[in-house]
Amino acid sequence: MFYSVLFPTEESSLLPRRKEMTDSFRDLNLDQIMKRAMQEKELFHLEEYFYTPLSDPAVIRYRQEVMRELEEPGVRFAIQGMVGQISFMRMFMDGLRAKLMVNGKFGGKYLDMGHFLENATIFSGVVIGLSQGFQHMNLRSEGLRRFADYVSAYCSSEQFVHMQEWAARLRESFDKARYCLFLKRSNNQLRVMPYEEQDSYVDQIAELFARFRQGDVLDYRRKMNENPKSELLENEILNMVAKLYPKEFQDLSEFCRTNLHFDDDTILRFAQEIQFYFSWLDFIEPLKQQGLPFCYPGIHEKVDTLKAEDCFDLALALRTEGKIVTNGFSLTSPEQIIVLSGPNQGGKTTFARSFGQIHYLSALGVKVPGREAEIFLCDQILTHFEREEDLQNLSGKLQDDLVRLKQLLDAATPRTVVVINEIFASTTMQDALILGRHMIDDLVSKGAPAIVVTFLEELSEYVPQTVSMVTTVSDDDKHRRTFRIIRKKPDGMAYAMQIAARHGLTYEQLERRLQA
Amino acid sequence: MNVHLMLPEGAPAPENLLTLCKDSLKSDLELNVILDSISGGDKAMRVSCMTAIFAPLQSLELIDYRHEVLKDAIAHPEVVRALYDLCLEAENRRKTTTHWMTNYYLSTTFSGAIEYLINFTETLVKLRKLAEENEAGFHSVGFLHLFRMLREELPDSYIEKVKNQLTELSNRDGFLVSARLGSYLQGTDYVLQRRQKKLLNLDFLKGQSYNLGKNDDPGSEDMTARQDRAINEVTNALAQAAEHLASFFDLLRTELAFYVGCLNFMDQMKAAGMPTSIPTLTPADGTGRLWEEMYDVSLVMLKKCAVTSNSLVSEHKKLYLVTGANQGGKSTFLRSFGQAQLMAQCGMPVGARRFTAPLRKAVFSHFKKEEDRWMTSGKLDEELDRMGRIANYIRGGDLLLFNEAFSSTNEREGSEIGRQITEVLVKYGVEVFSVTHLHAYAIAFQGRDDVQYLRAQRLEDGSRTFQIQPGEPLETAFGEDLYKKIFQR
Repeated sequence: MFYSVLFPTEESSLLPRRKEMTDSFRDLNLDQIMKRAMQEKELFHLEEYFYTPLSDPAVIRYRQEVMRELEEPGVRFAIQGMVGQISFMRMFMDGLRAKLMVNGKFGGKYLDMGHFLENATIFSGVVIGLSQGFQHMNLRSEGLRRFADYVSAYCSSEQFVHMQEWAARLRESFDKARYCLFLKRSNNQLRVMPYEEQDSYVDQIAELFARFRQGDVLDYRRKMNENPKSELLENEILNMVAKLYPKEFQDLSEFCRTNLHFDDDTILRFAQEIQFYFSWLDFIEPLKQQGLPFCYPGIHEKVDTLKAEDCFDLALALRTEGKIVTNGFSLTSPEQIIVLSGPNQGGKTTFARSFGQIHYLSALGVKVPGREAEIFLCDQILTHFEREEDLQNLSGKLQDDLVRLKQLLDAATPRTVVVINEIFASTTMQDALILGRHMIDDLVSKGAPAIVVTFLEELSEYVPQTVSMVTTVSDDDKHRRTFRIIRKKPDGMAYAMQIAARHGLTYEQLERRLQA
Repeated sequence: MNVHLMLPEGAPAPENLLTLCKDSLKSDLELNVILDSISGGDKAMRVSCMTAIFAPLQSLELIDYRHEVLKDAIAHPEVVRALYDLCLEAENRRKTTTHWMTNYYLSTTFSGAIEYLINFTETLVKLRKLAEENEAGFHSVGFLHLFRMLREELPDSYIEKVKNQLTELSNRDGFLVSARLGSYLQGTDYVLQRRQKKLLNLDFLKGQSYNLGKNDDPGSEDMTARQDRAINEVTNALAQAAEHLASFFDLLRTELAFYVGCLNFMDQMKAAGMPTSIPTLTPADGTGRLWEEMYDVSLVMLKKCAVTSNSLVSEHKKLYLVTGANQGGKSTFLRSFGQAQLMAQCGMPVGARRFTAPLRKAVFSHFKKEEDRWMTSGKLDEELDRMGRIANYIRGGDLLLFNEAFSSTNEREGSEIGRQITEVLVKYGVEVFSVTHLHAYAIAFQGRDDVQYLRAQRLEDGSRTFQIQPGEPLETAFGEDLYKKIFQR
């Protein structure tokens, strides 16, 4: 029996999920990625799925299969568009039914019936569309296959067909109706009467007050919300309108009573959950078209042979519209910590972020950046990125660095991936080196994969668990950064003065600028 | 009607600092803390003070003009606050009694505008009375102009005219609209219809009717909303008239707010036991600086108690290099200095017992930043990019504040870049204050007469006094101390 398209079993879908993003989330720019992925999908409340990495490899594979199948345009097309409307409708149905059934007895108000009719019309259209779409497909993923079977059975039921035809007849008759309303504020009285053509009032009044207009002031005309503040009042109006159109309103009442439970929990849940896949696929599609590779990673529960080929920072890829250099890494036991050094502006931070991102995304069960990947299934990712000096906490920079490092190490488990970016930059080299060694010792003792970005090249050969990676410059032109990152011993060269020159900030250049 | 508390009649508005400067100064010098504190949640006051701070005056005469107004304010704080309160009263009534500018219901905008127009006339009368009673004790050109204007340019006839206009608003008893049935049968497409005479006869009264219950609040709200949908256009004209009349109070409030902000500042510092003073500005070519008991105003505001202050007299210095222990008060010192220079140059009092400074054309700051969240560049690149943009605009006569600049690369490289940039800036007449832990950079200027070395003080036992005193750079920092303390090893 089908339950959820995100979890193979009902039990696995009931585990608690995270509702907020963490600081590390921000450091890795996952917030930018998720924000873009969930753009225009606020309605579906996908946050908790994107904020909650999975711990069960079976669930990850269930999702990978569904996502892989949704990449086929035909499958996607059959579902998309249909389900969005259902999700919107879902928010109101329970409340609506409660209003129409009072103490087990049908006794609705006309306005609620109006809402009901609107939702029934939407729902039946969507379900028919879905079922027709599935007919011509040979679905392979467990999640989608079981759902298609479910919809097909639902759609051909006699009850459903009858409901759908009735709703369409009703709507047509209401579109033709018109009426007049007289509002009298002084005695709080409303009158309803048949519609007849009248003269416009607006021009005469505007002219009367035109003398007040002067200078540049705001326009106070409003875009008016036509939803009633008081449904009670709207209902009273409808009660009066119903006397002008008795046959139509009687039929409406009968329709609602007969079709009270036209919607279906499983379909509603599917409509919401499927958006998780759509949002992610839509998000990576432009990047794929720009030639960036994505893959479904192998998931490992031990640190043995881990790797990623042609991996990249998704957030940066967004900013550069896919113009980005890809890089890979591999760790073979006992290797565990990547120490990344080399020229600045060579893509170190970017690489560190992509390392964190791929671990996180793999645990969501989505397609991840890279051509091929074998990834460690971690319980969390903790980061240490530089923070702007903040007067509120009244502490110095180095102290802040150390305090946060201590907190990070305390929170890390043997399954926690750690990303550390340029720590101890606010003290002297000598100091930083001593502190850096303490830090590596602590990371080794934890045992999970980690990456440390640092200008302290000495750390890369400090223990056997560390692997040195460096940013490179191209051979022909030392000024140019290639953004390639390779396994290599640090060569001690950095290129800061060339960067200064690029900004026109060498002595001679700056002198010329100030003379100007 | 114009107000001249900030600038004499005919004086052009001072130039604003570049957005480049403002954005960095605001965060680097914790100006938000200061502005929040002196404005106490008063947004308009915050804006006034911020605008002034970011438009430094370039002549001693203009600064004197504000100092004269400020001295009047200090001598008669109760009058100045009372004037300000009247401006607030006019605005608060508008906001709190009706929200008429932005209310959901147009009928509220409608009645709110009328109500505000009535209040407006009352407050004008009070304002004029206050001016007449207190004019004698004031001496500054700015205040005397204001008081005279209130007397002479708001005659009774003007107020009468406003009142007459209010009586024109007629009583409309009922609105007729046509409607359709919307997607869920709600009424839509309301169009206001003219009631024709035949509708007033018996045919009309025969229509079905519904009367709201006495306590049906949502129903009453709803009816108002429906009425709004009918009267959208009419209300527009009325609200626009009221808005126009409100703008004078905004103008007066904006200028008074600066001086009330100054008073608040002095009161807050006094409460914390810290001195303030009206600073002495010298011409732009002045080479001497003096600060006595100068302190970080934002820090006092956060801690709400006295903090460390620093003093120095210098002559013919062009570069100030500050080194020393982490957490030794270097950033705090740099902030305190930047704050004092900016506040002095807009006519505000400053956080020091005495402060003498030359006029500076513009003030730039370059503080170490958090990793660039948008990754358009690496860290050193980001720093140099900011420096490059500063270099597009900075010229002799400006002031630049460096805090841990060029520290995103290693010490050797950072020092070399920093040395070259600093040397050129100083050579071309930019005054530079530079806080650094780059040792090689710091010692590169040793032996020069125009360089003032300052150092965060550290006692024999390793404790810090947070004092910044004249002193050459020392080699070591103190990271290991901190490590032991935090990791307890």
